Amino acid sequence: MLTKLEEEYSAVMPKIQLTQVSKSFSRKRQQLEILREIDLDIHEGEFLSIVGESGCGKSTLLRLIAGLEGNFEGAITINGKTISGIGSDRGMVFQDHRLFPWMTVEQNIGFGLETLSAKERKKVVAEHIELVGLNGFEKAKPGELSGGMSQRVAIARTLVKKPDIILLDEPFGALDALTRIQMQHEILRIREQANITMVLVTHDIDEAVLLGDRVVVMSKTLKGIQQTIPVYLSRPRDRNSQDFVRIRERIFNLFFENVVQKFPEDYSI
Amino acid sequence: MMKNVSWRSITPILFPAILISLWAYLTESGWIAAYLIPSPSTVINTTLEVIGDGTLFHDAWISVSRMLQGFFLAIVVGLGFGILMGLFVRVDSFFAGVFNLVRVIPPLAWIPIIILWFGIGETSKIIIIFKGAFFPILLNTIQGIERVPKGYLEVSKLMDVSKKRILLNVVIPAALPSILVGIRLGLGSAWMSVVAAELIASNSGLGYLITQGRELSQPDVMVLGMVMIGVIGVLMDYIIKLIQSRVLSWQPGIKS
Repeated sequence: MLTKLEEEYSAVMPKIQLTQVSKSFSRKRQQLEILREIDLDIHEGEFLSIVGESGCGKSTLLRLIAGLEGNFEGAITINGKTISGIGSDRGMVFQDHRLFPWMTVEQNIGFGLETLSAKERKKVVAEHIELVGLNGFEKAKPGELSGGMSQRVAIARTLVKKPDIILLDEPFGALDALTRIQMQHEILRIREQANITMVLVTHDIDEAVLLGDRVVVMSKTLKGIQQTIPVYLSRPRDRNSQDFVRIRERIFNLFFENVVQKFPEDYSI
Repeated sequence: MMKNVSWRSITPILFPAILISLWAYLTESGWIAAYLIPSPSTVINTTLEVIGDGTLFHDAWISVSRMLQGFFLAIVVGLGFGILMGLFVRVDSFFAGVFNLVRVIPPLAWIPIIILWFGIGETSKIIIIFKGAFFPILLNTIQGIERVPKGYLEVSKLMDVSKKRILLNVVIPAALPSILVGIRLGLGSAWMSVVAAELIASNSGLGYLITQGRELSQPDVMVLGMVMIGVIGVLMDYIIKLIQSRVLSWQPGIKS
């Protein structure tokens, strides 16, 4: 039986489609399989969260979609076209913001705007500084910024390229709890302004449920997707509402199923 | 607090002060013969003399200008090769073998054959200085470029910018700390090479001043030449350090 969302989605072509995607890394002459035969459809304008234990391959999955990893089996298509490497339709934000420390905030944000004239670039950069709320920090260097501010710059740097898809690889993982909550709302606000498809990889189940239209739970033992859980909650979402808590619990149980089976005494409560 | 500050400002000059006092005591009292180590007063007198007739600054300037010529040549060629060898494995493996062999033969061993080929004129000195400065610059440039964080390159690729932009705005700035270390080491090496070259074959420069001191049994001139070499060396190193901290002000922990 199809769920409500699946029914809705099955009518249109997926924005991103993964078909039987497998990926192995060779380490010390050994093939180490990370992902096995993954099928996943991500739809236009959707916010997809991916959670899973460390080493389950969720970041690799994101890097595959970004085009940063070659040598995989299966096919990845975007708008029906098979990807071959990176493309300006996709932007990515990393946990370690990866700003260039020798450039100012302005220069970092404008880095990708190579083809624009200086005047146009300045205008676009100014718009995005405004968007992420960094007015007054145009001339600051990354070394002078807090973690949250750095991540805002990284997001702005990605947004200036006007990508259809933004891939977020644990973007708030290194931030303190309060800043993280702020940034989560920031992402939602940015998403409201532009119809961008977003794929978020995170450790934080709360974050996955708060932001995601669906949450994909990945498992290390399966080397793939354990279950996909739709989040039918209207936005803005309340982290403390009963429905929210119920979904969180469901994911939590899935998340820890394997671990609990392995070490039941540690989870006896 | 005040006490701490004043102590801290005295500490670096304490040891030189002790050394100079010891030097003065041992020589003036006759413990050490004047033909082995001249007393500070003799050195000062000689210094005033050679400053007065202009030979000291003349020789110092000749040495410095020679060094700068070889050094700048080494920067240009070292950066060129270093960037190419750091970027392309094939270029690296093509040159690495021969370069390594040339590198481990010390400047002194090169001097005879370079004199045979180029005479004792300026060309041979600049070649020897170049050889001394080239390798530290080359090796540190290669290393700096090879160690550019992969994350920066991934971001650049995702931003879909030209290779030229990646090279000029990402790779070279990221490698700059290492490149500047190479330049600083290269400068030191160039300065040592110039003295070596002048000691062996020259009729001007600080190295020549020292040789002359030996030939005329004037230890005060020898000491003066050595002190000048030291002072100029330290001064140049200081200037490079200053440039380093200016250029790399974005680096955490480099703020002066």
